[in-house]
Amino acid sequence: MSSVAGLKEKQEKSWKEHRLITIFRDLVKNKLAAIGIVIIASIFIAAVFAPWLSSYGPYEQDLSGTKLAAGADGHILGTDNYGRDMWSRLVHGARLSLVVGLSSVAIGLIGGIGLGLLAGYYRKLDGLIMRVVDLLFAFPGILLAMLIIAMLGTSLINVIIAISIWSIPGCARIVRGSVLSIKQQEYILAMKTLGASDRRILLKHILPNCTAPLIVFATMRMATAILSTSALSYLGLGAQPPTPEWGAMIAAGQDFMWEAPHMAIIPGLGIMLTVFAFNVVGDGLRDALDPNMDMNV
Amino acid sequence: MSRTPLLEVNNVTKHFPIKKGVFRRTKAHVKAVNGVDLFVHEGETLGVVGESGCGKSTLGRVIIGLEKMTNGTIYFQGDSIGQLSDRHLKKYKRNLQMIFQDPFASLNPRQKVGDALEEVFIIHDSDLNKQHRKQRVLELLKEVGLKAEHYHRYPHEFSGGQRQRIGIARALALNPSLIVCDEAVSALDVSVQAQVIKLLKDLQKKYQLSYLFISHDLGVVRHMSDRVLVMYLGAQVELGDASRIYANPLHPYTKALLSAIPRPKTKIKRERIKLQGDMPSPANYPKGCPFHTRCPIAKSYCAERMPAYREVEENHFVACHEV
Repeated sequence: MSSVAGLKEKQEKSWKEHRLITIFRDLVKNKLAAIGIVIIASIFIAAVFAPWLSSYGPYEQDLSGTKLAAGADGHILGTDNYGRDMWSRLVHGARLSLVVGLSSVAIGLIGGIGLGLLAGYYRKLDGLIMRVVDLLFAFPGILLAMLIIAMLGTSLINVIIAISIWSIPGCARIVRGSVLSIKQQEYILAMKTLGASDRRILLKHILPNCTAPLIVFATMRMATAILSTSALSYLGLGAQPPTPEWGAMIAAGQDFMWEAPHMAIIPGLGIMLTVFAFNVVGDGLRDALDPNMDMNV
Repeated sequence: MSRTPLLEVNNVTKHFPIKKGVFRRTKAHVKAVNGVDLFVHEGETLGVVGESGCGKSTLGRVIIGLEKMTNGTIYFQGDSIGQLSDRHLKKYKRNLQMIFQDPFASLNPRQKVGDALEEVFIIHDSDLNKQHRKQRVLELLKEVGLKAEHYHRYPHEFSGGQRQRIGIARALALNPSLIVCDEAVSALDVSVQAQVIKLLKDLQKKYQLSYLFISHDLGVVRHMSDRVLVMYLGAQVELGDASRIYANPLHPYTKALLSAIPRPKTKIKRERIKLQGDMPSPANYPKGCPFHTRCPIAKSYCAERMPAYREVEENHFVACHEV
């Protein structure tokens, strides 16, 4: 009996793995998405191992060697106007961007999922919640973020708060839409006739069935969040110098655009590549997770 | 007739409001179920037939508590359950279960079959431990003709018939006394239909189950049911023993319905009664007898007065002026 049970566990596991592999295979079939995955993976590695990847600290000044061009004196990407190593600042900036991006998307998802589930499931709450969401939507995102930071003060934590609040309405809308269609399914009615509580139905039966659009949303949102963090920092509302944040680095570099263009261009390329990668992977995931090819093949 | 019926439904109506305009004012009602009486005894099957849109599924949902009725009373095991809130209804749900139409939509695609069945016990028998739950689930799987190795599979790995067996196992898990089967075999192939019907009948014999068997398939209903209720446009038209209704239908609608059953190789010429036009919209309910717009024998007063629903023979009820 126990060996039979073990075999079953194995079968089930292999099937689950199989599903993930299928999605991954569909994803990398898309050339752009494959490139995106490689870029994201390298950024993640750079972010995690930042202190070991660079021989200079991101704050280490060397006033004898300022604005060095790439490759000079062992500085792979040169130095900035204080003689700080650009490569070190770039990888530490990646760390910052990913932390801000991940945490703001996570908070936005939690808020959005909560609101979306309630709005989609309870018709009485729907009107109220969705009007509030519409209100948030009506504000231009970056303006909303600036407003929030103006109220809370400039700091990276407040940037995270601002961007996550700005992520909530989109997420809430996606979840609400999925809930509206899923709650009409017979398996939800079946759970009701069995006497399952609303909480059980929402968390165990509705939420797991709306993950596909959420994964796509989260990936795309990462790009927006990173871009917005840089934009806010560029405007002086986010990370403050000397923090190695890409947006703040561009802001510092623009004054030396003619003498040392690499100071602005390198962090700019960092932002561009990251945003590009998350966007193409999000697009690829949208195709790979297409609900029509999903479970009922 | 001295026994108290397991389920007794009196004069149940279900009207859905149609809301229009800025203030969402109720402009009209869709009269999905319009005054239905029925009872089901223990161990008995009551078939409910009618065209699509005649309110038979709504009736089933009202009885099971998925929709709140507009009017009427529902007694289950002697207790009035029609107006209970979901929380109070929970203790009756043990005894009152449902099998759904679409075997592909009635199971959560992300839940393993074993987990889906165990969940029933988590909801109702929270003191049962994991070991016992699994034990019960394996028994259930066997009961409906599935194997223990199906425990760890996902719904999409099963055929339609197997999925419907899972649905039956789920309904059966709490040892209910009444199961509402809403088009339970309509989505299946004919050969699979026969197997599932056989399973339902075997289970009925074994556990003294009662079924409320809702279907548009007259042949299946005849095979399953002890008594049959014919519905038209949310109203009851005829109710009686299955054998009597099929042999000697009284209401003109029942006659038309039965004459439409395809039969192979009939020597005896049967008159096929073709109904003219479509069923009126339940949002625009006709005055008088609901059937008078299509009835071949309608008289002028049929459009004026609603016919009484009366017992013409013992246990045979008909709503028609002309019978």
